[in-house]
Amino acid sequence: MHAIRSGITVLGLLALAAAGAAAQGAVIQGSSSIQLLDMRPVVTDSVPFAATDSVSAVLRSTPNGVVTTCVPGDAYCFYYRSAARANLVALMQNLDVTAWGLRPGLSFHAQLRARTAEGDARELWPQATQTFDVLDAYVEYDRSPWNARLGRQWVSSGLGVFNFDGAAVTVHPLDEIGINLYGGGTLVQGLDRPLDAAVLAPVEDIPPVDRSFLVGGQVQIRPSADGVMRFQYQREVRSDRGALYSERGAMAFQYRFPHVSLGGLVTRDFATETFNDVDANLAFDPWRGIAPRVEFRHYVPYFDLWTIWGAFSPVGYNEGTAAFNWASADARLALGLTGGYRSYDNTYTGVAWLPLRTSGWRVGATGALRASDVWSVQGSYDMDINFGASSTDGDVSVRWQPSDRGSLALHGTAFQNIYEFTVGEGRVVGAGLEGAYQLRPDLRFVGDAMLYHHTGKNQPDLANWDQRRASVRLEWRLGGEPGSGGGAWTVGPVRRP
Amino acid sequence: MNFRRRFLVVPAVLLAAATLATQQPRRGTFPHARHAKLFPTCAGCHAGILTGDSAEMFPSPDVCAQCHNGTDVRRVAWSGPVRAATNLRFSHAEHAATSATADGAAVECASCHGQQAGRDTAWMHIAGAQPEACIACHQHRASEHLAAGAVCSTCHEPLARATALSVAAIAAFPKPASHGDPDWLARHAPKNDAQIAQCAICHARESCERCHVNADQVPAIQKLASDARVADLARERAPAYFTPASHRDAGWAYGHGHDARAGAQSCAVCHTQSSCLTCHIGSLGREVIARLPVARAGRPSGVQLVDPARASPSAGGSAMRPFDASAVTLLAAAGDTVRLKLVHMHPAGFATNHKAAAASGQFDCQGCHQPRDCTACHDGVSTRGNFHPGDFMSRHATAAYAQEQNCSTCHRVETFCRSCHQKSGIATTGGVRGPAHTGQPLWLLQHGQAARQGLTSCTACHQQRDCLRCHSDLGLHVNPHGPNFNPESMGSKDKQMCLVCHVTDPLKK
Repeated sequence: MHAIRSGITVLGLLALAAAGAAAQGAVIQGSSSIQLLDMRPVVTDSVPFAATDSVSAVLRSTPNGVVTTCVPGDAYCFYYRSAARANLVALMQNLDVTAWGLRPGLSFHAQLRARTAEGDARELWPQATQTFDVLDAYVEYDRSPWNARLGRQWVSSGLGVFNFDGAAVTVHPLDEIGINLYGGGTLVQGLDRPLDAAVLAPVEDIPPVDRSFLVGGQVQIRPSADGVMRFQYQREVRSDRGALYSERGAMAFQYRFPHVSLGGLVTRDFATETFNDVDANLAFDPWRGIAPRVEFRHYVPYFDLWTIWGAFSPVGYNEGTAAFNWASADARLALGLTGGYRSYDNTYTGVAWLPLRTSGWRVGATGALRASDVWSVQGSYDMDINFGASSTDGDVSVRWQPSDRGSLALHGTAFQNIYEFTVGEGRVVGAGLEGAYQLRPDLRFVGDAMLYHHTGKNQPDLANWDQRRASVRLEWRLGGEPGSGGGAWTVGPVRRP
Repeated sequence: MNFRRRFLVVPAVLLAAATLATQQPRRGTFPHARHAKLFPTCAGCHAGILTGDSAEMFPSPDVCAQCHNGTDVRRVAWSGPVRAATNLRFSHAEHAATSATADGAAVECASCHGQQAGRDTAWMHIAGAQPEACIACHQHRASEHLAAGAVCSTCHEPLARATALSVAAIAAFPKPASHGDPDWLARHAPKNDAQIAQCAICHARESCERCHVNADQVPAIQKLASDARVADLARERAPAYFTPASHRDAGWAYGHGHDARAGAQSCAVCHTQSSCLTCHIGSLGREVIARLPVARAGRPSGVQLVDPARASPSAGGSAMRPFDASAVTLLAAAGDTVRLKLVHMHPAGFATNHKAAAASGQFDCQGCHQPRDCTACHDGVSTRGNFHPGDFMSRHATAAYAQEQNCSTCHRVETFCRSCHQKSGIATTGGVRGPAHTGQPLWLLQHGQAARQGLTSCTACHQQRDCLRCHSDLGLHVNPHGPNFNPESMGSKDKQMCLVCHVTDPLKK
């Protein structure tokens, strides 16, 4: 069955490619990359209970000081240790094809990806065994006020960015109103494969029983040049129509007042009767170079109904954040400050004398200095104290850019992770180079190489995450006519602030 | 008396002529002052100045040799200078005939050619005539030479008529102070024929064509004569552009299409279509862009916009946090003339907080972005590697628990997070003996709170059956539902999900 599907896919692509070849114009953009990773995975090891030492009343460790998990009565305790050093080389080829001119308004778009990975750690590379992806491949007919797409395509919406196999139609009955309807077979996010048990079985012990298809619609209204809003409804239906995998809605808006703009997003899961996102943000126009932005966010994770997770009543948090960015008049110096505080909803679980953190906060600072027309320096520092894990990060970058064709940068980084649920504190320092050079307007070379050194505080034998990473990438383009963006899906004029 | 006036006029004119020529280095080589006692009149040597007879404008070497004969005085090899090319509208003969002082006396040569603008009246202490000497007599609204209000044509011919001027001489034209004003480029367009004539004194059509990409469509530019010498100069100089005040406004980039639609001809002064197409790859604004000139060889390039990603693979570098490029936008300072300008459309932090803007359709993203710009991140396997900071693999735990960026926007938990955790050895399944959670030895009592607060993170390692061992009717009957759980609502959507825990054996594969 899979072979048949693959064959149909290939034939379809060949037909579309032939159509593209016959078209008036075509643009093919490619990205060919090679990435190298050298690291030490971790494995679970055990040690006889009798060989462990008592750290506290409830903790035991290996003779080397690595804290273990010991179940009372078991003869062995368990802990993580680093496996032998392993490496991989991943090759990825992306192709982005756009062809037009078959007839007015008709065009073809496709994003294709081929990949492979070699090395003793090749499994570590995401989807290393999935050698060929069709991210999208669709025919578009775009003649105002209509736009129609047929094939594998993406939806960008308040419910996320996802692709599906099907059709979409957009119409603008008025300049201020746009209506978009879409439907088709659901794909697994990131895998570009239909949602079925075979795809998820390797990582999911209770996979969905059947495939699904989704239907949805969006209505966009722009009452004035200063404001716009968009409503969305979508349901994901099991192929046998016996159940829903999801039923959700979203509303997003932006409105521009004098000197300030207000934006927001609300998403609703009708199955769990939960608001997954309630976002509202205010962005102020810069005053003396200072551009403030404040945001309120209520967040609850969303889970598909083919999993049981939604029934576990996950709770969310409320968060307020503020950001201040300042730039000097000549824009040679820019500074930024951010801060946020979040508080989790009541979980109605746990015991009072063993509480976990129910709040978190974060602060960050960024800075950039254009020391000359050629040299620039950037740096950032962040501290994030949170339920589950905490971290502090510092990064600095010095860039030399002698022309608009290329640049070379030296990066340095240092950070530490504090794992709340695991005894351990990892510290990492890293440094490396990154550069790019545009050989021709349609040909660019990019490369980077980084080294990271990891140490485990107070636990020298903790899992070692030392890494060596490098990548080179060649980006190229055949054909020069722009217009590969596809049809517009927005309404009305946008007024300058 | 009449004779005396004439006597005074003649030497004055002669001296003026001689001093005008001091703009050429050779003119200064004759030591007039040292010969002051020898020559009683200017016309003795410079008779041709008044008559226009070039042969008699300067004395011949024979005149010098009368004294510099090697016996009385050493020999010299001096010859009269070649008259310098000029764009002055000046006639000594005419001035000699018509000029007069306030009391009616003719102007003396020394009035213009005496040192220190005529104040040093010692005989034959001469210097080049200065423009101020002209202004001193001519009724002229300009207070000084090159003043903003000067009417240059009073003394100068249009450049196109000054055919004798060399390219070097044109290149050495003094620059009026007004042209150095920071706002000069913004308001230098001539408003009438008189102003065009003013420009034509120093400039030709090619002067404008050096920068104006729509020069062939601007009447004021077409009224200027073409000049090959200026063309030569223009070829050697790069076009210079400035940042208009409107472009420096906050949010200019967001809504510039509104202004472009209203006045594309203004854009066409500095921009060709290629400026727009640097960003506009979609259909947005195509009809407006089509009204701009097309970049062609032989034309100025116009303002060159550069996608910063071309030169810098990531705004902050692949090892940096998503440090939005807007924070380091290289804007031109007021009055700058810039050839290269980095343009960032979105405000700081947009890479991480564009969700509402994109979802609302505030902007037509596809006007400037290709689908791959979205899928590069949202497909879950980034090909650019510049969204997360370096070694995000080691430091992503905090971000994953906090969900500040909502990981599921780009990554599916099962196929991305859990898959990697399993392969790298982090995730274990099947019981309570895994080495994780060592920080909480009484984890069993705490994991409920942790799960409710960070369930996404739990699922990054655990499969459903890990929990169903206890939380199911066929397990230990531990109820996982919260106080606000609505079984009817959920069950009405997918009853099979309920059956997993309540009817079938969750531990049976």
